[in-house]
Amino acid sequence: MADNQKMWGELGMNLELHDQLCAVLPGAVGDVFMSQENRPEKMDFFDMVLADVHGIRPAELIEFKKNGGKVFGTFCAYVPDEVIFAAGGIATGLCAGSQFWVPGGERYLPANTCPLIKAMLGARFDRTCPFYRTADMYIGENTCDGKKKAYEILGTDVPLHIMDLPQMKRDVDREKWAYEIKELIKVVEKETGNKVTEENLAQWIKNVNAKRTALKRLYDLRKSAKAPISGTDTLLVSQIAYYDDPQRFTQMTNILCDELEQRVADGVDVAPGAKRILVSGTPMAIPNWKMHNIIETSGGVVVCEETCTGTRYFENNVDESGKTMDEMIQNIANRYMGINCACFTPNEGRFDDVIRLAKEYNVDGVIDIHLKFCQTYDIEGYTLAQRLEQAGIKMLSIETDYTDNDASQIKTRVEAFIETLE
Amino acid sequence: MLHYYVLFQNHTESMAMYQALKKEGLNVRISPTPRELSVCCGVSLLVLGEDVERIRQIADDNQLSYISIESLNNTFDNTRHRYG
Repeated sequence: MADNQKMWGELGMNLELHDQLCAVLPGAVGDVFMSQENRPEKMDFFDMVLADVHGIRPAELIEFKKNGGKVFGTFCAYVPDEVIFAAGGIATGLCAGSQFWVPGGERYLPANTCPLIKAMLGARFDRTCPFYRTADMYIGENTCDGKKKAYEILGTDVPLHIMDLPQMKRDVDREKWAYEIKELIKVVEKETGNKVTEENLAQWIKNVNAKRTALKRLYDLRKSAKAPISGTDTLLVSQIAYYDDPQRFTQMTNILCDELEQRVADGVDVAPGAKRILVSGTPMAIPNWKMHNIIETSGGVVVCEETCTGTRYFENNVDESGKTMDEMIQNIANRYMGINCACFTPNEGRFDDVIRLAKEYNVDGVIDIHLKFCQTYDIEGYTLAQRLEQAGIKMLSIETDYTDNDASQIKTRVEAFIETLE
Repeated sequence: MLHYYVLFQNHTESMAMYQALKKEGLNVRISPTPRELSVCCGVSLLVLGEDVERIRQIADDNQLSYISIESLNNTFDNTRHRYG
């Protein structure tokens, strides 16, 4: 493993501090994943990615850069990967899901900022994540006030382009988002030195659609009355979707689905007797497996996530019928504007989504989870609770962060909630 | 509980061994290398103690590289709720 140390050193990482993260992650993976029984065999690819999460993919990105390639770090499901890949670049998600990075972020941000944003700055400024070090440019988006202002600080240390996401869903807003995508094309063309051609964009619309289709296939298999895969394993797949090579990811997810189809046919159930839970709310960036681990050790099995590391990431493909550049860009804009994030108002679509998914996945209850200080999702919890009550679906609301401190209290609440489900 | 880990220089070697052991029908799982066995992150293989000698033989027969096979007394506790 000496190769990783050399690579991290050349990336300018703080090796001593990063070593503390390396020390704890194997134990967490053992507890959360290796403890599971009857896992699908084809989780092996995702286990490999996770086992060397700071080694394998960063090494590929560095090799890509040696040949003149440019890497773009992203934070959000709204940034259209199609455009970046069509310019010959690579888009990679930037992880911000560990408490390890939070204290570093608190040196720059108020304590009452959400842990995802604090981890984002901590990972960058502490120099403890190879993905943050490898990206040539970050592509941000103003999906909340916290991120918007944090980007101003982050941008002092790394080239950063912000996409101005409209916060309503009128025709004018879809046109505005198409304009923002055109601006992104200019940025990635300048950075990569490559032109986004109609041919390349059409091809990458198809490639990213194929990735979404594979994820939808995975989720559809979870609708089976017997769960062929745990929610925790599926969450890992969704997390890896953000930064693995998209075509390899599509292939490996489809291979996993082939096995799951057989499991469904054979009646395999990884959680017999467990209550079916829909998780809704804020994203769970790697390695945030806290709530899934708690739910799935408390008598529940997570069968669907209405989150950015869930259905929001893959539902609805880009219309592939566009021929001209303008048509393709508008089709991309329309697809991404169909995501129902709490940064929009009004956001009835999200409440409709949760109720639709609760029925499609035949869930026993919904657990709505938001990160501390995520005001938009916190506030939406009120209306979501009302809508679910009207639909006769039970809901538990959880506010948490990345620390382990509240795990026991949350577990007690989750166990009590699951006991109430019929 | 005593777990047995096959350790490697890199993930390419790990996956070559993984495929060979699966082909032989052995019980093998991909695992991050435990801190106690290595100084940094990496892919190791979790195998059964009773298979260790057979694994050495398979590695010899197929010219598969690995650093060592080590045992570690550790537990996988899904109720520990520590996430790093």
